[in-house]
Amino acid sequence: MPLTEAGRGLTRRPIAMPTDLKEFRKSLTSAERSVLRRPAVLAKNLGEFRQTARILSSRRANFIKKYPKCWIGLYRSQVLVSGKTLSDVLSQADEKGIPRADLLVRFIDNEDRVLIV
Amino acid sequence: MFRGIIGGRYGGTTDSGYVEARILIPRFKVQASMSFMIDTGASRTMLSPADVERLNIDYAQLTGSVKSNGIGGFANQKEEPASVIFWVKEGFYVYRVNLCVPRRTKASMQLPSLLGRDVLNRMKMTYNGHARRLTFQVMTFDAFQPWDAI
Repeated sequence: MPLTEAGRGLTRRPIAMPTDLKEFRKSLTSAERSVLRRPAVLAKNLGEFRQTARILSSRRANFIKKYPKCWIGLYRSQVLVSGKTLSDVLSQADEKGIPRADLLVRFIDNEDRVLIV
Repeated sequence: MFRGIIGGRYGGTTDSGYVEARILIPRFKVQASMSFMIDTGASRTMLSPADVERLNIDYAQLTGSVKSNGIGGFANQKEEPASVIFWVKEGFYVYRVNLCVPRRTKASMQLPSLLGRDVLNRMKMTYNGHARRLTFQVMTFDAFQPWDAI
């Protein structure tokens, strides 16, 4: 199979519109099946996380005022934990019983910086 | 009807494009929601050191190794097989990737996780920064779980 320009391990895949999407269900691994066994829960968690991420974007100015140079942890659209280090925030989240899997953590930098990745 | 439209967003901190997904790392029995920054310059999807810490993944337990080249120079990163799951109206699309995991440094701690070309090249992305609209249309995928088959 031809390699992409990106390098080793990546293969070009042909673009093919599936005609029967149900066929693709057969290719799920057992781990994926176990995650997708409760789709309503997964959709709810992802939907809440997406909403929380949007809150993070829309309230940036408030967060800079309130949590300058701090780590914050958001869960279900609210900032529930904050601290000077990520470890602090995660410890507080654990104490409060907030699931790390659905916790959104970010460092609130009050200085403008150029991000080049 | 096949649509496969995934909605993204523009981040408030960096004004970059982001998309949310569920990630599954079978070896560590980890599944979690992730906010990925869209990075067409990254050849691979990357898990940020902050997310590694959030998910309680022991860096020393990661076994794969990949050499990367970025603005900070060359670096050796770990890699780990994972599935990235997107939720859309008609069900869940699954992409299998080899996640890159960079070493934890003071600078890298503040970086978000990145969705790279290993996934993005399998979608049609509409990036309209002027109207602040970001969408992805699924072109290919590794597996699919339709709602009506659940």
